[in-house]
Amino acid sequence: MKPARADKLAVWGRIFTAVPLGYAATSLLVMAVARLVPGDRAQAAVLATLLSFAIYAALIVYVFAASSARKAFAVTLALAALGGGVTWISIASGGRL
Amino acid sequence: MSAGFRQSQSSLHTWSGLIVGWVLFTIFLMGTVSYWREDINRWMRPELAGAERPEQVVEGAVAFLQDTAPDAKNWYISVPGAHEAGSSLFWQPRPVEGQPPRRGRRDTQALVGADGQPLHARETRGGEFFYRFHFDLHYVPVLWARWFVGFCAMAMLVAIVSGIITHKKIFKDFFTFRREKGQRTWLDGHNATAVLALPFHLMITYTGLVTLMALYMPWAAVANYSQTDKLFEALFPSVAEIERAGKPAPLVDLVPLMRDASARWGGRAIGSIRVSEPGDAAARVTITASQTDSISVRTPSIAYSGATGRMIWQSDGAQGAVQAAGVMIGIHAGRFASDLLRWLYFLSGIGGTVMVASGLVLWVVKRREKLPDPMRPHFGFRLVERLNIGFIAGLPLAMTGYLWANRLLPVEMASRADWEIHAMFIVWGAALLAGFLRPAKKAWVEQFALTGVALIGLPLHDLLGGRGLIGAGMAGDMRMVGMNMTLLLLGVAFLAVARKVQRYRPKAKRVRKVPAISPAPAILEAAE
Repeated sequence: MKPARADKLAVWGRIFTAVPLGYAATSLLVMAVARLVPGDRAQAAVLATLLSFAIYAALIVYVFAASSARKAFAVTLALAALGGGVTWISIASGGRL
Repeated sequence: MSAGFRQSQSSLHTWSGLIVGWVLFTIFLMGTVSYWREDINRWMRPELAGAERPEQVVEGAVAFLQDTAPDAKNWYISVPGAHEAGSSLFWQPRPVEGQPPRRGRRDTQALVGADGQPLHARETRGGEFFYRFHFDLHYVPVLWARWFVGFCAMAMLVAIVSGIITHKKIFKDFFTFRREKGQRTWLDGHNATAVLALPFHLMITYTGLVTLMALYMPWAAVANYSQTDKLFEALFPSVAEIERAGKPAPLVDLVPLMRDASARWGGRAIGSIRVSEPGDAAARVTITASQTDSISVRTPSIAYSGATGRMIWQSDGAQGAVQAAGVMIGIHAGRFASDLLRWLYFLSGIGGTVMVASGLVLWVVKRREKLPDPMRPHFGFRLVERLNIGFIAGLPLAMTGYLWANRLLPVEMASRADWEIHAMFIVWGAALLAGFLRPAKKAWVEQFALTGVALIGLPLHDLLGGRGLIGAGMAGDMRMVGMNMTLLLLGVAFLAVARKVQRYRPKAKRVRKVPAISPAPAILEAAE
């Protein structure tokens, strides 16, 4: 592959990682936060939702700052897995209202 | 902070800003004028007199509803605020078995004055149109529009954060303004408008996302609740629905209930009243406080028996994160703001609009000097340059066209309110087209100048019709005096911008440099 083409691919890879994948990872992290915040369930859900846009913005900034598109992809995927895993275990053990 | 990190954020800032820049400009401008929504509403309905006393208007509203819809299931009465004329009502007819419930029909709503008679004003969406457009757009399904606007707002948040990171000397640059220096002037202007109101830009973007967070980010609700309806029941507690008793009983006078509710809230104004099953022994009156007296939009409610006037239910105050969400939405909408604070909102909003506009122009100015052949710029460059004209100069012109349509369309015209809006889009379409067809510099000057003349023309038109500035002044209606003066001032500002753009002669420093059309210093000085 020519270098220019590889660069272009890397940019599109970052855009994909940041926008749709970043949204999915944010959603799963926000679900985990909503599960982990103690106390009233409605309060926890609203608090997690309020934080979501800051989490998403920080993730996007990171994806474009990471040293390589591959690394950004891997980290985003790992964060999504972390959020999804915590949420899954928490719902499986505690259930929902 | 490493240079590589800053460089990555600079590109992110440029492109996230450019892709959504025109939409953001539109959202910012429409949202900014919406801080004067009530005043624009009144200006666009010149038939209506100024505000009346809320209690008398509610009495008129009840008299009207008792005549018109005595057996309705629900009456909804909005209590006019200090800047509104009359009470807008709607009622929900008793559902007929076998028929689907009717919603949003024109024959179940009215605007009623203190005498209980419907107020007659020209058909218009007024300032509501600008307000709705800034998140619902127009001609497209509302849900799509809200997702699109949310996407753009998220890009704005990213552009702001990456813009701050890009900016290593944020305070030094703020006090730097190099006039008449082309690209540097634009950069300084972009920095100044961005940094000056930076807390406002961050706040308005974040809280804007929060207003529609249940749509954009429903997943936290999904994590905690099997049905998200349960979350909404927990968040918005309301008095239980009632069954009709079938025994007639006269409805108590609502004014003492309004006074009682207001006293319980420490003197807050009343926002709206709902009467369920009026005329029945089970009737219930639910009174909700106005949003003008607290920052949070979570306003308290009290329910009374409609037959006895006894209080039967009271909402709990919101707390914690729920209250925080209410406050964030309240800070965005600014309904609590006094006139002075509202002016600050308005000026900050203009600052944001100019920040977006100067960013878009900067993209063009920065690339002009690097063009391989300035006489034949590539397609992307021309597209951005020309769209900038149609949005930055064309949208204010189109919005002025909307106000003119309000004055010029025949009062009796069918679907008049819709045509006011069509008129705005026709003007906007023409401005966009002219942006592509006319030489760029001429197009900027023409559209800015036309906007200025059209804005100044509005108060003059009303003066000739016998109303307007002098009529409002004689009636002591300072809000409409202010509205007319603001239109005049904005018109003068647009003319000044047009003049500045026309006089602008870039110094030819390089052989390759194209005779620039940059209206650079003009907009900035108008914004200062």
